Amino acid sequence: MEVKHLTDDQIQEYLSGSPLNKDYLETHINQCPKCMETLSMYKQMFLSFSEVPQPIIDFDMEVIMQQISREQVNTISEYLAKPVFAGIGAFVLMLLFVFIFINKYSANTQSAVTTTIIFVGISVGILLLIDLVNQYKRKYTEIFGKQLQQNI
Amino acid sequence: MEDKLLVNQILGGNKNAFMQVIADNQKLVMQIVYRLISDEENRKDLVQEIFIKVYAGLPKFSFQSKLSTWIGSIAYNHSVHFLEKKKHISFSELTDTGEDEESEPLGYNHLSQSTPEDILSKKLVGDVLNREMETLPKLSQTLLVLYHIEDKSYEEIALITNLPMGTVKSYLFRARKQLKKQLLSKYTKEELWK
Repeated sequence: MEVKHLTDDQIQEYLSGSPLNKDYLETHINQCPKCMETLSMYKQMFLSFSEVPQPIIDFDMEVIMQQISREQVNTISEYLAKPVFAGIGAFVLMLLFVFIFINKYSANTQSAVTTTIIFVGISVGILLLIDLVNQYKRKYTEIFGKQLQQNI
Repeated sequence: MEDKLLVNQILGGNKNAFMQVIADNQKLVMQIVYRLISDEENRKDLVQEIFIKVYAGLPKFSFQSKLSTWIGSIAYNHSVHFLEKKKHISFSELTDTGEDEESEPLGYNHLSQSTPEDILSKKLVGDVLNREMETLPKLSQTLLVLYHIEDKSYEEIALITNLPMGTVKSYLFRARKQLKKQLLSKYTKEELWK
């Protein structure tokens, strides 16, 4: 009677994990010298992978660190530039706001409402600017404070 | 150190933490680049570019895989992209044996002049295995080292190579079978593993 041997895939599956039909494979291997021999060959091969030499690529760590420092500076500049642009924008808007109202009502006697609007506009603008300056300071300390700590 | 802690330190500007990441993962990156890229100078440039890319991509890392798996996938994709760009190589070519004239087996040159007897007498079974591996397609070599040397699971390899897990398994089965066939065509089992 012709013996049906296990395939290489089945033997590998048995060796490298938890095959679904583990009991069947095990029984067969224990009774079949040929499959046992194949299993032993794969086993040796699996073990020998640990003896394959590790390739060495002589890369330059300095190049990497220099490049990431450059990227860090760029990121910081972009990060800090945002509140600056927002601040300039708020200031320009505030000036425009004041200019429009003064221009429109300068011919008439300034009504209480106009004065109030101008006053509120200027106050809001100043508050916005103060807040932006504070944000800027906070971010600056956050970034450079950490770097300073590391340098120390 | 835990991935999250390490990444947060790097994002906070700690360069030493990034150097730690390089130290922890350079072996994996070198294995992938070495198996996929033949030219020594290109290998060097690519490893550097990969770590720079890792640094630039860290703010977007979502911790859905291990940090090393994510770095492995960057190394794999960057190397494949390089091959596609430089040589217009397709995925099918990556799975071919295609011997490359530029191929420089770094560190294994001492074997080129040796006869099988010489090699075996020196009991360099790892070198023999490596030499046979180098005749396999680049993708098969990469999968073999990821599984057997870098101890990655099928799932992790699938994430690194962006291949379905079933495909990874079947490529690995085929690669091992081929390797076994090649070894037995040149040596007896006793010669290899006395």
